Amino acid sequence: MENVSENKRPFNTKEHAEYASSKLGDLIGKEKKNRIKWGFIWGILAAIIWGMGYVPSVAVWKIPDMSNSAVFPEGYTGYLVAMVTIAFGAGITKVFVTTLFWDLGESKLSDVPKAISNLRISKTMLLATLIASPIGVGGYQLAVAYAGGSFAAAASLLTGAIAAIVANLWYHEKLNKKAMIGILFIVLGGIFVFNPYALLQDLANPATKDAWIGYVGGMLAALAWGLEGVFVARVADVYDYSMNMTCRGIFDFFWWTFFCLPLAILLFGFDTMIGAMAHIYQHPAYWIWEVLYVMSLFSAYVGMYRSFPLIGAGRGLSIATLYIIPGFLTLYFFMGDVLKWWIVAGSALAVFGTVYMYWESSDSMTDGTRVVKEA
Amino acid sequence: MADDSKLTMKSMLVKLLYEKGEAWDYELVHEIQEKSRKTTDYWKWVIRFWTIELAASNIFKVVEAAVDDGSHFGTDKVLYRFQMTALGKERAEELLI
Repeated sequence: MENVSENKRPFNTKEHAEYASSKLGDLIGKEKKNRIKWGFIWGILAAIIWGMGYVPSVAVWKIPDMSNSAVFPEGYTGYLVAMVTIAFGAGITKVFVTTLFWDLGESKLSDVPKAISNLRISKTMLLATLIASPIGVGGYQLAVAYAGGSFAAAASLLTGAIAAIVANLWYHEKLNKKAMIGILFIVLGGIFVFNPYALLQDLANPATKDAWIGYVGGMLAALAWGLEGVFVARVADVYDYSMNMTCRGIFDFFWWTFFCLPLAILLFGFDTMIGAMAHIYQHPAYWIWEVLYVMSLFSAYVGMYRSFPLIGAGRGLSIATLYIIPGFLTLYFFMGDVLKWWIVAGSALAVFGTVYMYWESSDSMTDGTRVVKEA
Repeated sequence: MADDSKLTMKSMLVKLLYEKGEAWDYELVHEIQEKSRKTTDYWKWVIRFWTIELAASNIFKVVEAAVDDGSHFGTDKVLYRFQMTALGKERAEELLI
């Protein structure tokens, strides 16, 4: 994720005045208005679809019968087994949805092998998914399972702050004053969302003492995705967004198949994993939820990436962050997820922080949003 | 170029401007269409969108604008002339050259 820069004006004031009074100036103005309109439309669509995508995430956990001790081991081991199974299924779905739905639909399928096999470029993404897939997806699923969908949605808001910090530390992208204030608000919002007081109460209560796993999962997911976002941004410069999503989907599936699943089999036993997979995958409902989840996730990403060139990455990201509102609303209407006040308060702070940090009101023809320290 | 066969279309576009130094958007679009043999109208718009995307992510920068008389993208559309930014050159050298 990129930081907001001061506007790059390719024209000085005199030239601007000349153009402004000419037909070219009018047309540029018209084109800009059109782009801004569509940029906001894409951004808002992305936010709505993303928010709604939390419902399948939560619904999918209704499918495994966690009390069935013949399939799932006791306690959090059982949840880890279920998590791996669900995430692996999601990985399979991601591959199919990106290639058959997006790439085929956009006639970009022929570019996919090139995008993946060019390891000079794609190795960054391979590394990023290694971090993001098991830790991000896994942590997220655990957060949903243990601490609820609303919490998982809110925890994801921290990603913006983490991405900015990582970009600063790793790639030396500048953090200006706006960015630092924004991060402060996001972190403050994060403290509210994670609510240490409620967490301690949960720990004391034997019925919810395992909730801490959800909190850790949420935190890890935010960290992993923040990290991933920064790495992917480097590749996104030279790859079309469809290629980005497809590479991520395929690499995600790759790591789950060849790293996470064998690890799980090692830890939990071959029979347990096969049993869990049979138990969950036999339900068509599971696949329907996964397809809905992946389609909503990827559609949202596409909407967001489409909005970046039209209104700038900063504003696009800020609009997309509003996903939390349809997220909370749909979770309440469809899943009866009752909202806790601190999650709402924390989310409001985090959204404010993100918008403050990334929003640019610019007058330039095209919005450049990155400032990199000249090496 | 033999090298380009490994690159995706958007990567080819970045590399092309790096080599040319400066070009109009329609020149870039036309050349990429020829190189990748995707000459339909659909791809014309897709590649044009990529030039805007690259300008927005600070890889390209706009140095001039002109009115389209209809021979490139459509009457009264705006044409842009691009150069690479420092960041763009850095990225191209790191990943594409």
